[in-house]
Amino acid sequence: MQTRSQGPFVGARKSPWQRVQGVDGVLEQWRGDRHVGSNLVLDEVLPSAEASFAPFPASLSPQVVTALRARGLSSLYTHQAEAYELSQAGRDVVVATPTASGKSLCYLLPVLNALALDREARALFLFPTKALSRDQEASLHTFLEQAGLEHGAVTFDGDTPADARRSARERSGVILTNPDMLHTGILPHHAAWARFFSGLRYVVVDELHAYRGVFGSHLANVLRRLERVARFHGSSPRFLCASATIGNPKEHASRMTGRAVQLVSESGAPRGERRVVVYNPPVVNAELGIRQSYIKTSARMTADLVKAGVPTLLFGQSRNGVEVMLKYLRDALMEARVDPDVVHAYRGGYLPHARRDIETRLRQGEVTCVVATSALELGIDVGSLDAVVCAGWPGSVAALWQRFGRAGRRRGTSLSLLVTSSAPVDQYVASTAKALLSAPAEQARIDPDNVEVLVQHLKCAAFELPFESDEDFREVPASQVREALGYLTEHRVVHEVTTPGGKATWHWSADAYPANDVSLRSIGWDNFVIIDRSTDTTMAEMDWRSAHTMLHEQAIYQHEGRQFQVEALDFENHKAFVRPVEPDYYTDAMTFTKVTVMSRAQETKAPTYELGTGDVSVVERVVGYKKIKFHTHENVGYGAVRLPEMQMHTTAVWLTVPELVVQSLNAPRPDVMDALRGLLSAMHTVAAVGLMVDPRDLGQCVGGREGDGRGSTLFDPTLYLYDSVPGGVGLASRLFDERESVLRRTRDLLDGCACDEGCPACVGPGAVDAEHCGRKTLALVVLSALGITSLN
Amino acid sequence: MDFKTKLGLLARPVGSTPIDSVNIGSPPVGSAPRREPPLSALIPPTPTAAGALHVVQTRSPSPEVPDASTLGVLGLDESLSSLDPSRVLFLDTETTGLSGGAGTLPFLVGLAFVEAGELVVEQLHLSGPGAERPVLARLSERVEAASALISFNGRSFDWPLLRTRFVMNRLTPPAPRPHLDLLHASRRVLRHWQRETRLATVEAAVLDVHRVGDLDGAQVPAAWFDFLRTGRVATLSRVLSHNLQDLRSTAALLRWLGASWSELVAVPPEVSLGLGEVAERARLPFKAERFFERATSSAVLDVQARALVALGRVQRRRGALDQAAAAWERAVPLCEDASMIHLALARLYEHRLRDAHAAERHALLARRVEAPMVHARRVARLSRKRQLVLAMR
Repeated sequence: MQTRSQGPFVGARKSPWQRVQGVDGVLEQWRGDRHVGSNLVLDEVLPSAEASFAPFPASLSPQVVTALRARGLSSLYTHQAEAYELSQAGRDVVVATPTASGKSLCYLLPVLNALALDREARALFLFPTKALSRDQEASLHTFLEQAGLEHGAVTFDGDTPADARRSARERSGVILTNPDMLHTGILPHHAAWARFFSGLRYVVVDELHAYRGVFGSHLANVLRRLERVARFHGSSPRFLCASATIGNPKEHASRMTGRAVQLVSESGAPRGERRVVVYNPPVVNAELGIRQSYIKTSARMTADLVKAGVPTLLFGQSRNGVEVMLKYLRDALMEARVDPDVVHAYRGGYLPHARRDIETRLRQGEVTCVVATSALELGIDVGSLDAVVCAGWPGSVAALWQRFGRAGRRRGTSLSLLVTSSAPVDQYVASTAKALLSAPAEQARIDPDNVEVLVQHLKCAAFELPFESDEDFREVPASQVREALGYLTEHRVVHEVTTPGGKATWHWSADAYPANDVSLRSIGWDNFVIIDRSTDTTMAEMDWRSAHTMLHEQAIYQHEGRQFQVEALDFENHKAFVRPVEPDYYTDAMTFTKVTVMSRAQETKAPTYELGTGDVSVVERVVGYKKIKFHTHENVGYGAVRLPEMQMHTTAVWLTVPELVVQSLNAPRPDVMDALRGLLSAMHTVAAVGLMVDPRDLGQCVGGREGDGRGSTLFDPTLYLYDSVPGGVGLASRLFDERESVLRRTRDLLDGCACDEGCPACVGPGAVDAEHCGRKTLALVVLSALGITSLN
Repeated sequence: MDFKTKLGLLARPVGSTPIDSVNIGSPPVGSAPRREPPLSALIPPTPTAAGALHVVQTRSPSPEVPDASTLGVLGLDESLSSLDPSRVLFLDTETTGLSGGAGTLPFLVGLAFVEAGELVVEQLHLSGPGAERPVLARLSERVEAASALISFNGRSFDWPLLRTRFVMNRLTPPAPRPHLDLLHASRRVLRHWQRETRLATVEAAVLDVHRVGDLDGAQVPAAWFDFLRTGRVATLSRVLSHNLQDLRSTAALLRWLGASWSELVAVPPEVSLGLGEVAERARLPFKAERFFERATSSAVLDVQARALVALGRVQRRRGALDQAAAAWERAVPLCEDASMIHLALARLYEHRLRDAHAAERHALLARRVEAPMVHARRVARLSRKRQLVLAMR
């Protein structure tokens, strides 16, 4: 194995027999170390795959072929050729092949070919972030130049200077932008873009998997508007999508674009052998289920790899996590007398040239380790590395594979290592690690017909072009469009006019620019900022919903292992003022949640329980907080909180435990309720992992059958899991469809958890109270009484 | 839950501001739309090839339109200086909002042109959304016949909006005309006198026009929406007179700017400074010098200082070096920080007037605006030169 470390530290290599080298060497070392080896919960190998090539398609323009040859290519991978042929047949396409398999070429070929054939052809490229469009712009310029095309490619976003905007509209063949800019800056001004829209041939949606949940539901509506505007200007563009591996790329793309999209998923790109390892740090506090810091562990294991000369990529969960790991890692390298400058941080905020620089140095071996947030995940090229370390579960199987996909050479073994944290979801993953290799990637869910989202975009669409009486909105039938327009008419934002021909039309009629009132990313929209009064700096942001429970006055806010107390919460202006403190307690907000069923869409009755889904109203209010002592977890005090209640209408799935079953358990009713809460918490974990959603996007509440939450006199206790987005994005109906699997996997989770009476990984830490039957035991009794047994 | 029920549960949409501010009579009804909004009560329709057009013409004595070269200078735009000034078209629209974009509707297009010594204001009023064709057709005719457009903020607002309407109605916009935007022109001329350059402020200051009972521009969109929903035209008639007044003021402002430029009317020294700057940019140094000279009589110290600095600048450029030096010397005590002037004086004395003694005196006072090395070199060089001069004596 070659060594990559250079400079003054080379002298440290005097005794090579003491230093392990390469991925295999490090793995051997870990397996042999009894503190490490016993915590490797997964250590498996994925076999390699050969490349499969296809010749350049005959219909490909000679100019494009020239450009490909100039890039040193003499053939395509089979999936690239397949995507190209489908596009030539006039199909909409989604390419879902692994990271680094050459997906961009799949959409670049049809686009470049169209440009080569037609001077007036245009294409729109959508990327979820500004940085990505800037990156693609640079590579597109080279490509266009190599093909001798003079169409130009311009990134159009908030940073585009005013004088460049005009020429972008008039002359650029390719516009690269993000959904937000398309929504607020392009579509409402489409008349100024007439030439662009009338020539629009392709709409490229890259990183399609990033558009899920609310963001995805918004984008689907923005695309509905785009199609409508393009039709006005006489064009009907095709969609070319690229997605990371998700469970339902074809369905997701079809839902997003409203077309019967063709899937290309068989990658022709070669792949080397890959070793997949999951390390679950040992427990340090059994009672609370707290494990050794995954941050420290990840840094230490990465240091092992770097010391052994393995080019490694370390992913953190947040910017702060990255900073902390960077420090630990450099310290560890200094100690081992390895030059700490071989480690570099890589953040989303870096400018393109700074990123280029790191990419180059990585390739040249001057840098052997990069510590990054997920920025790297989104299609930026760092070349091939030998190892990827993920500090903490990235939220979904798909995201994990996307990060792991960053490592992998065509030959030789690469390492993919996940270090799990103490969080419930991480522990769930660790406990089911064996299933990780075969686990299907999660499905991306969107609901473009969410009324809340839909109406906002109908407003924007009415601003862009008047609606005609029999006009539909892609999948939204004309009758519903009419109803929504009626609603908007009542609220005086549109106005109905009858044409001389007797047809009704609806015109925008308000002194407002509706796109400015609609944010596509609900997060970042009404976030609270957290200001440290001791330094007078903004230290973090928090979403509106979490702010209620985490930032109420007197709350102890934890940040990077330090404690701060919230001194004041300016609710109006979304600011929380905190000051560092060293308390011997933390706070836990008490939220009163009430779920009321408004309509039942689907229900099934098992002999012992009922399961249903439908529309609910959720009212949440933080009423107070508990002070809980560190280590002993005694309750050392209470405080009241005055915050307005949060109300929303959304969709939920519920499990009703009939009163008869409750009584048959022969346990005190409060204990049963406690066990049910624990059970719900376990179901929540299972559901969040299974649905590829942020656990915060899924709310939970125990109530009564009617969901009217009549305090302690609950009748037929019912467990609710609801979509935290107003109107819902389809999580509930999906959960209902997967109900059997969710219940069974909940059972497996409880059965498989090694704790005594509950830990954060399963039903939550149980009350330390020997008098009664423990929380976990009782939860299992409930499951058995409901007839939910393990298949294992 | 069906779609309609879900709609009922939504919060009031953002942007649906009630328009009660202009409600006069009974509350508006969101009921059935009427087939023909009774705009005819306000402006009777005239049949045209493109449909019924609600147009009203108002004549008044015309203010003189400046000659083409003056228009070119005011707009700092060559293309204006060779056109026929008798065929200019004044333009001002009233719209449903200020944000622009495809959903903002100009519902009243006000035009004005000179005909037989009279200013003819022609206001084209929309009868309702979707009925723009007759308005756009007439607008197109007028623009085609015009030699240039003159507006107040029309370059970036009214005209792009009107172009959008042509596209939205699948019509070809008329060929572009040179455009003199008096917002920019008057900002250049008045910047040292009037901080604010809204039309209402400008007309009050320079034309001594004080509107009584004029509709606030912010109420214009509401007037249209109220008309749409209730058919009431009372407020619309106020919009008409507001627009009429705007057009007349634009024409009067142009006359005043032209007369000021041609030195036919007396203007405050602060305005002379602005005119001088325009002259300088138009490369008319003698005219600039005259304006700057007048501006030096300003009672405002800052204006006086700027005028003296500018005066010195044009004088130096034409070789009147002693005068230039004198103007700058006068400017020095008026400035809080005169370092830049000292530097200019140091250069003038050293390289042009060959007075090392004076140059050194000023150079020493320019330390703050020079890089330390450059400054040290200059001072050393001047000290050497001064001693050389002394020695030669």
